[in-house]
Amino acid sequence: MPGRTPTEAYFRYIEPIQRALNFIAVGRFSVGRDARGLRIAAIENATLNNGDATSIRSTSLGPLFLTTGLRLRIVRIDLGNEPFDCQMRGYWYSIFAPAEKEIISFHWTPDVTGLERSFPHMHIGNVVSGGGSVLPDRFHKLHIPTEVVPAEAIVRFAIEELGVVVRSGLDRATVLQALSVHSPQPLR
Amino acid sequence: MTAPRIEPEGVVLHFVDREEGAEILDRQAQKYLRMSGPEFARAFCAGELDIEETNVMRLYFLLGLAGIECNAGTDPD
Repeated sequence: MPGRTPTEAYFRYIEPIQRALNFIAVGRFSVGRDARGLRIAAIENATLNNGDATSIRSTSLGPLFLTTGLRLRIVRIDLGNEPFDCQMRGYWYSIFAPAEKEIISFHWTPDVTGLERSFPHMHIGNVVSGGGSVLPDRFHKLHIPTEVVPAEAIVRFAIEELGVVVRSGLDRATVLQALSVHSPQPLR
Repeated sequence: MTAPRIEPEGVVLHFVDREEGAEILDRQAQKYLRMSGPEFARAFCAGELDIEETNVMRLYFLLGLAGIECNAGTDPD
């Protein structure tokens, strides 16, 4: 998300995420801000409710919980009068059933050294996979490869696939339309 | 993205300076791993913790709020 300044690029990146989370959840989206200002290549974190599981509600599954953590980095790009960009450098999204029973999670921690699996991946939680006949005791530990997943796509997934309700006063169709730009695009 | 009308109390942006970030990290480390924020940072940066463990992952995404950047990790497998 390019900007004329590092701060503009940062805000242009995080504000749509805050708006997307706002469609289904309540709380604080805490974003780091160094008093010395945003520095090129430095990592900033953003987290929903400080990593606590945030209540959301599904029409089909009942109470669910969402966690969201992001690592972001400002870079300099060669793009005319908007020479700064904000890029994702890692995330953690999880959707839990009550008692923090993980349903699904998406991990990407490319800056953690020593990991064999530094690629973006997902886990199918034990509460889902544990009752199956394929590796029921450890299927949830498998690292299923994904592309890099934006936070907005997780919100759309929650609404569209898990039946998570949008907040009071919001229209589901309008919200999904607003989130559609973050849907996977067909190959051409 | 065209934003629909938003109710006043939803998810709000909250800017965190390094001092508050350190307080958040400390509080959450105590809550989830019964250790202090600095203890968590030291152990994580030394590669002693498994990032695939939910609470470690949770706290890893708070390190930057406190201005701590290290990338040590271990592969559980």
